[in-house]
Amino acid sequence: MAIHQTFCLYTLKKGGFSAILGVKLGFACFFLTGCQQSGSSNSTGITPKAVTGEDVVEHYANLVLATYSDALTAAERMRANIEVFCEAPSAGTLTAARDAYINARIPYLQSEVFRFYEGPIDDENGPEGLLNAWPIDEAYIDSVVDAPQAGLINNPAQMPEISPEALLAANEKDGEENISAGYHAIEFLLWGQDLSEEGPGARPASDFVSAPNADRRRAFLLAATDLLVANLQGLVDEWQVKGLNYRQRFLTKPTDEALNNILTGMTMLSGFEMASERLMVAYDTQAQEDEHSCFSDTTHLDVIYDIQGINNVFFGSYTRLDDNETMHGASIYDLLHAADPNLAETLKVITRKSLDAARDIPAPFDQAILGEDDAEGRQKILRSVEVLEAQSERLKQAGEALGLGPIQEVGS
Amino acid sequence: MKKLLFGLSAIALLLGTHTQAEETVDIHSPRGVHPVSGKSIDAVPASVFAGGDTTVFAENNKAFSRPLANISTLSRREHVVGNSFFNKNWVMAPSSTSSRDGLGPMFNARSCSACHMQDGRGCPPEEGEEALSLIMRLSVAGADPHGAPLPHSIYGGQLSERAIPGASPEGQLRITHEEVIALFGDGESTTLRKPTYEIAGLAYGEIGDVLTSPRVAPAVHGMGLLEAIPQATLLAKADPDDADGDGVSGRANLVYDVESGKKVMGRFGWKANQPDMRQQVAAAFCNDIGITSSVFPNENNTAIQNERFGLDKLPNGGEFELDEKVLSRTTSYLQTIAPPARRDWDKPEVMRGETIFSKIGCAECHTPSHQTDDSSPIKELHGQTIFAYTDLLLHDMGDALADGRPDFEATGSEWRTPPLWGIGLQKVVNGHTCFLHDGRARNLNEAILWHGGEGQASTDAYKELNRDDRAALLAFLNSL
Repeated sequence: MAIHQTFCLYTLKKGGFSAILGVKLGFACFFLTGCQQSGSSNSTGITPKAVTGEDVVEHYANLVLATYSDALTAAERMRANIEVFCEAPSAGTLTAARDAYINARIPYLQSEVFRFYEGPIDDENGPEGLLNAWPIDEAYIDSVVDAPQAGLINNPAQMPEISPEALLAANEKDGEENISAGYHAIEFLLWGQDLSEEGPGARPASDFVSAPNADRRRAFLLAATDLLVANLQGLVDEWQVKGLNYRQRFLTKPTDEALNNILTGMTMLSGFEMASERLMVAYDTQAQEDEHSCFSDTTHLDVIYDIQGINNVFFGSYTRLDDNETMHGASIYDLLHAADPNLAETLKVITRKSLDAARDIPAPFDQAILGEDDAEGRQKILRSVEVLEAQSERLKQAGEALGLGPIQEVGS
Repeated sequence: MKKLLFGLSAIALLLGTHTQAEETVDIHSPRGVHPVSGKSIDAVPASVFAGGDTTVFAENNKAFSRPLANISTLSRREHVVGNSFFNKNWVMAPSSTSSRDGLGPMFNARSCSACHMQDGRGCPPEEGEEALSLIMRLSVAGADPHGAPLPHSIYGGQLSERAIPGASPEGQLRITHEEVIALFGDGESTTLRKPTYEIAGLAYGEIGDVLTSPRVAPAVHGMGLLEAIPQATLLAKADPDDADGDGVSGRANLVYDVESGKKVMGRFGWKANQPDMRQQVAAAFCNDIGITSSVFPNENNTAIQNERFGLDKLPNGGEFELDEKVLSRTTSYLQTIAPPARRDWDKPEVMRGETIFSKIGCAECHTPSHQTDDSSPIKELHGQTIFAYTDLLLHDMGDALADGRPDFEATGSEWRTPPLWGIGLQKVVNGHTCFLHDGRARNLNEAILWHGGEGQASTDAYKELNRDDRAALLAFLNSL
């Protein structure tokens, strides 16, 4: 069995194989190894436990809190690095700030599976648009190629005092105002426009020292980061164990409704958001920058960690930010296993395949979408789309099997 | 890709049913059975399947946002790509997301879905609020060489209420209302709100004499099916000179097809001024969001605005801001949104209301059923019996609804019969029950009462119904 495992990993990672062959062997490998693949996800060796719906809902709330808490911690570290960078801008401090940004995205991406059921992240007043809006109005923020005078940073008359409050006001809720906050705004300030085929954006540290309005650029970066941290803090508060908050309302909902919410988030993220919005759109348009993290060229990580989030919820497990401690608890998988063991096992296989397929997409993503349909990158993206579509259909079936009423997966 | 799918299925077969099903996402609705009642479809009226095989059974706030029930995997992927461009905000140029930039310089909204919320219908603003899903068309007397309304020399064909930095919004629409009493034959009464429009804060100079037409964003489900009704069927129902003397004429608009350079029948828009979905979509991108395309290559600012205010000096998203593929996908998206199934069709009151609907003449223009042909490139739309309740023709709706602004062949008092499918779900989807071209009717009762002109006889008959019969008619409409 160990040999098969090794072979399987090798096959999936070796770029020289055609995608068809790789996928076929991947399938065969899953079959032969009884769905074990070390290092591929945290589902290895998971066996079903006897749980109740209430157990699953409560553990989910713990998992949400842990994920948002990590997103907050990582964002605070990013802020600390950005403060250091702004005090002493240099290539070194800029690199540290960029690294901190990439690390800050990792827990946040895993929290995207908590969207789509009008929880604190995306209810009527939810901060989703302020955290992760895409695309953003770069030219509304700062100068860009062909528009050196553009942006709030270069136009003090439009925003005399740069502060988190001013940024909040400039990002009106219903989206009819320009978009200038969130992770991608910070990403734009740290990397700049991505003008190269091979690498990400290459904004020099001097933009924050000697370039026109360098002081306002530093202020904008700090304000955007402060606003991000404040919004994440708000999410943590809503899921905190104590308090008159959303967590309390969530735990007192009828259990089936809460479970339906949980599965809706997983289904929507898998099908609508990942398969369609993030992958199929870029695959279809082949617009080189039609990717979410276009400044830092980290779109491939977005895909992997978003899908990791679905895995986390399905298995009730989440690996914490620092000590690599993994929390485990009552899961959808456990509950489903009692209702429909075949479907539970099918989903166990698909969740892992979805992660493997995502890891298999070559970076940078903006190059992987190019070429003819038989190009390796395109085949791998399409493979990911197929698995994610199938996963979302199976998650809907899981909702039926658990008697939760229809799980709606639709756009807009 | 066919090869890849085949390869995967072959392996999947070896691995049994689970893996096989993982590779094909089949979301066809079970035909033969009515999914809600579990009854055989022979026991269910055909009108329940409003879009034939394409019908979706959805009653929640996403009821207008579902792909055709019989959609293929490949059509579905085109649908989701189009959906993305329908929903996502456009950003100002220049930006790294080059396929999504070029907003403005002047615009009404940043995305299609801002006005067509959840693919549903817009509504007028409350007094004192900014208008979003209600736009104001502008023109001056006369017509251009193609028969289109003549744009205003400064303000163009539509009032833009928003703009990117460097440009000013053209002005703001202000609405005031006056309540008008309508009496029923049985002595009951209701009030209608009559809107008056003015434009405040004109930023580019005096507007002078101008014709205006306020129009609310329509719901967008089922458009592909409406497009697939053969023109001959529609023209056969037209009776421009009312030769049969029933007081209802019905005329086809004759509009300019920009790409072919020909005059063709109009089908979409409140005055049927667009020939097909492609041109409708391209026009909306241009007029509402300021996004140019191969169909409409010029921004919505006028020569005078460019000359005097330098709007053409502001950065744009290149030629063209809307890629051909994105135009095509957004069009496909709209062509593949399903109409929702009827509900409550077996309630006695609803069935009685359906009889009244025909008896008082509503069905003369709101033609219940049509058959689509096989001309669409989207095979899922072929040969469907649909229940859209429209003839897609122009009818004189009387002075009270008239905007006084001709649009190709449509006079200032003519409007195209809008489809009625889905109207009973609008409250759930959009949170309001505003109807008619400018959303002045606050509910279906008021909408009926506003019908004048060719609809006057039906309105009069409606007023003479007793309270129960009026309620039955409304119950029928709410079942659509």
